[in-house]
Amino acid sequence: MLIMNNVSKSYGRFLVLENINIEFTNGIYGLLAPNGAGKTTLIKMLTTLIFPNEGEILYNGTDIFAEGDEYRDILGYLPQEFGYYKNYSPRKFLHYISVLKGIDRNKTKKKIEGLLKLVGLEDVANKKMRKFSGGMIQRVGIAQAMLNDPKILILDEPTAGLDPKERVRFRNLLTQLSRERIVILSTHIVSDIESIANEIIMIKDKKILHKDNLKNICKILDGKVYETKLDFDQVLNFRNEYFFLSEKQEDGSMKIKFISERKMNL
Amino acid sequence: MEDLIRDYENKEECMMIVASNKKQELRIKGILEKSLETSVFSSVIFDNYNTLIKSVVATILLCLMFMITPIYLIDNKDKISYIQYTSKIGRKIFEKKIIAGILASFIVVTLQLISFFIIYSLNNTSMFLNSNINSIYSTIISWYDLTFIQYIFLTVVGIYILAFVLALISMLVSSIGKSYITVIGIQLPIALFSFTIFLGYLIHFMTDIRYPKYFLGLSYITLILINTISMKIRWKRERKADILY
Repeated sequence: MLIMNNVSKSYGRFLVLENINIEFTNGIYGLLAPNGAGKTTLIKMLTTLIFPNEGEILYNGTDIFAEGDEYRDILGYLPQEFGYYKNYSPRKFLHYISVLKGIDRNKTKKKIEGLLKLVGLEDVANKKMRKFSGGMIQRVGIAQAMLNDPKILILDEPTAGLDPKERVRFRNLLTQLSRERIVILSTHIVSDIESIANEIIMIKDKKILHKDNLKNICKILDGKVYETKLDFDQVLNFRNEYFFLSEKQEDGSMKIKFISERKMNL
Repeated sequence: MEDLIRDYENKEECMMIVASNKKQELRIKGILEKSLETSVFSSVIFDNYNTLIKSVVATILLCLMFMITPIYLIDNKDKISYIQYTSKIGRKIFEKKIIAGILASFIVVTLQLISFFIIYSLNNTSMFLNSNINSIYSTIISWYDLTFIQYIFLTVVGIYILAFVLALISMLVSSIGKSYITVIGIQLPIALFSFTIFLGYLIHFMTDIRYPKYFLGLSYITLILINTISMKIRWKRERKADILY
């Protein structure tokens, strides 16, 4: 079990996260927040890249920073900006990462071949990554994160650059993997996690806003979502008053889905 | 020829021209008492070796700077350190890279020195290897009673120390710099300083009495200490730093 206890992080005087308390058990957790809300900071703390100013992060009761390489040994991480050597082939790069991860040399080859097949890169396994598309690079990133069969898999914006078919394949893969491990998935794309996440964690104003399953989170909005049709010139004023979920042009007017705390008769 | 004979006949006067203080005078008197000035060693051999070795050291140091500088820079710039620092090896990779850098420098220096000495052996100077360098016809008066082979050995030791020092400086710059432009900006004055000061005072005319007796040893010790301590401080900071590139 991975626990964040009263964790706060600030850079100088700028407070990014305040009193974060989360508990992770096996399953998929979707970390949902707008850009700049502190998702990556939270993830970087869970991956030991940055240190909290206050609080502690425990894995099975031990501080992850004190545990050091033992904790990192069960960690798989795909950063938001995945760095790679452009002149390496995926196979060579995965071999390099497996050395860093301290994986047994006898098992490495088989594991790499399996992962290359899993992410659909076996045909280009020996090609230099210099000419790869964003989606292909992202798949190399996913493969390297899973190389050590991690008990905690942390993926920061993993579907960026993947095409719809790859997204589906990736979601199915995560569902399979989550049975025996903690998977934390950070994204600002709701559709990436709505069907697979066991729990959704929402961050707002430096704090955890909600941590619940999708059904319960949707209940919060029960009776608050409305739909209406407006003339184009009315839209601007209406936008200032209500939070828009979607807007669409239809039959010469605007069809708008929005949230309202007040009861409305439309 | 007449000049050579005249110099030899007035050897004390001739050698004492260099002395500007008591210690230097005493050293020259010591050489004359031991009759070391009668050594067959000549300035032609010495100057030839010094000119050649100076160019070799410049090549070695330049090679090292080009080779070592990207060691941390590439990984930090391309954000590969995120993967490295979150894998089992973690931040220890910083320390491993120092060891790798030192080992690589050792290999490069050794290979270049082997190549140089193979070519230098064709100069047919082997008959002077056991001659004392404090000859009346030599361009150096040393603080120590060194033979030519001992002097060569001393320059080799000096080259290895300078190479390791420069490798450590390059690694330090590489770990701090955020882009190639910054790193080149820092490395350029370091290179100029190395090629003028290091080569001029620490390799060329090693142990010459023109410099204080302990200047050479103290300079090397200071260089080693400054670099080792700076690298240790950098490594300590890296262990505790937030990785935010």
